[in-house]
Amino acid sequence: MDNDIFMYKVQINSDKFLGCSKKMNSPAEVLQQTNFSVIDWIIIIAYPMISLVIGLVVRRYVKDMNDFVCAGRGLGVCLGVATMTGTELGLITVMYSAQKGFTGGFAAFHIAVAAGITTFIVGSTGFIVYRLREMQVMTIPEFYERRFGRKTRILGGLMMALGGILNMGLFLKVGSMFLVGITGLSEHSLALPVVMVFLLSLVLIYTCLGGMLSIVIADYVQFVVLSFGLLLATLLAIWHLGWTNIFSTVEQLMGPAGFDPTIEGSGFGLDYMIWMGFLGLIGCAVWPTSVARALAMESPAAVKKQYMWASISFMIRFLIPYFWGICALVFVVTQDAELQTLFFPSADALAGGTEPFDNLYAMPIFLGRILPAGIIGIISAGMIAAFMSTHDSYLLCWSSVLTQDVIAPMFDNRLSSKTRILITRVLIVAIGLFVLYWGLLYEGKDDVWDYMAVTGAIYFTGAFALLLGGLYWKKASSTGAVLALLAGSTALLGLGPVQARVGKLLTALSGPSLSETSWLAQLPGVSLVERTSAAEVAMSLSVDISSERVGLISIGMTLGALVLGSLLFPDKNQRESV
Amino acid sequence: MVFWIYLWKSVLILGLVLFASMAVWVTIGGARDIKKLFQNISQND
Repeated sequence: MDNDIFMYKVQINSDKFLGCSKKMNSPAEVLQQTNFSVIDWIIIIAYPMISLVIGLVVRRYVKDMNDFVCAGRGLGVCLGVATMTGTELGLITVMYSAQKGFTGGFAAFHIAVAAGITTFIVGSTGFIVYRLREMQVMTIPEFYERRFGRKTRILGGLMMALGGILNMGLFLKVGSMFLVGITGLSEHSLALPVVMVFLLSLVLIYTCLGGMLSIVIADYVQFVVLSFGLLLATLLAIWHLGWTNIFSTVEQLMGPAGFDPTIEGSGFGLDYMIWMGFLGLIGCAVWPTSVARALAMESPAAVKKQYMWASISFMIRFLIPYFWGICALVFVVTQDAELQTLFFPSADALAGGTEPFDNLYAMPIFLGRILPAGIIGIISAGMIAAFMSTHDSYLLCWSSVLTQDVIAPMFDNRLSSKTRILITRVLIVAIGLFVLYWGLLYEGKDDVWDYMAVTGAIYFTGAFALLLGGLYWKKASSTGAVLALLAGSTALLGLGPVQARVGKLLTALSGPSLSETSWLAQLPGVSLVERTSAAEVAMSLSVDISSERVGLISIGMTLGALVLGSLLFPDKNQRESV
Repeated sequence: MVFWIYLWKSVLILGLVLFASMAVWVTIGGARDIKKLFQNISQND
């Protein structure tokens, strides 16, 4: 979604609802207005402590790597659905989805529907996940080794960990922003980094203790708290704003673009919808944290049931937060002039250098204003649970991939189970520290959802090709697999900062004779821009390709690389048989 | 646009009803599964 288009659209139309108040509070003062009370603080501090105790109690059941990574492969359907929901319905999901609802309106709902339908289809057909569970592999790269050889496993593990760790790079920061927003702590103090360090420490201790067993139990508790919390908060939001008012306000603010994702101006379009359909498939059938839940199930048949039931969660994990984001937008433009000015500064203010307030804060501020004391604590505790369950699952996933699929194969799998658990725990801490560093460092302007789709694509575009080819095409070869994995890294071009670097590189390559006729300026997605400084006016090249287009091109490249590589360089056995 | 408004209203209502039903079922069944999981792990020791 183009934030500039959205800002312009809402600025023009929001004037119908509220004028500017005469005396405006500072952003910090506006943020502090919340119903969050002492009782809520007690609830959100007590909840993580209970999770910590669970981690300690469960620890004694962890005997080997199978228990640590796959919970002994003993999950029933209900627990499987709960843990899958717990993992995929994280605080980061709630935050970026609310942001999408805030900027895209009801048109964003198509993403939720796509996710639900694709998950149901995967469940009913068993596409990819059924065969993986039948093979009894622990991780996806383990499948790579069985099908394509050890080198593919190591490369696949590295690509997966690289994409996955970058993907979770903003989890900590965005999750902490929810707490800062809903509790009324000021954005401009040290609140954000302090909350980040506190939450990270909690998750690291907890994950290192019990592995998958403690995660599964925490996911279940989170499911119970969060699912009822989500429903309650949604009903309260509707009660506060009015069912009809929510729809009519979006209609007046955004027009058809707020509902129809296919039209120009909605910020989505056909490319985006196809990309979302593919992401829906990836999110359940290829994304390692989801697949890890499938691999921990008690039987392949249980996997299919798990997916069919979880399709409801896969839809609702987007649907409810989108709706909260929409409600936040309605609240901001119809009920609070200060918030309206903060999120949608006037054209004069923008010209004077005023920056619009980060719209990620809109949803938590809205909940902090409408939910009564006590309920905010329960919702926040549920969100902290969501934060913890996503973090622990992702930390365990990427660290165990590095241990099982990169480090252990390098030692010819001679590492003992005890050593592997130790290495995994060290990696959990190292990745946690990286996430803290990245959360404080990254300055990209992409929507969080788009950032995650692009970083995830580094891994999943290649993985999709390998799983599809490896499971369903006999001619897929190890050379084709390696080429497909490498082709997946082209997805990095979808990130704003990477495009900016590429633009600078192209400008440097074109030399001083840069003009509209330069061949570099004719490349798709590249344009010539004028940069004015005090000393001179210079021409430079700018790269601007939408993330969905980069993602779709990347998928095409990985599938093409797999097919071409396999046909040109078949594996030795196949050559002999030919 | 009317079509889209009705569509998203229906999706939202249906989604909430399905999710509420599933939440009750998973809450009860999940507790039973946890009990079974730990019984199995203890028996394997």
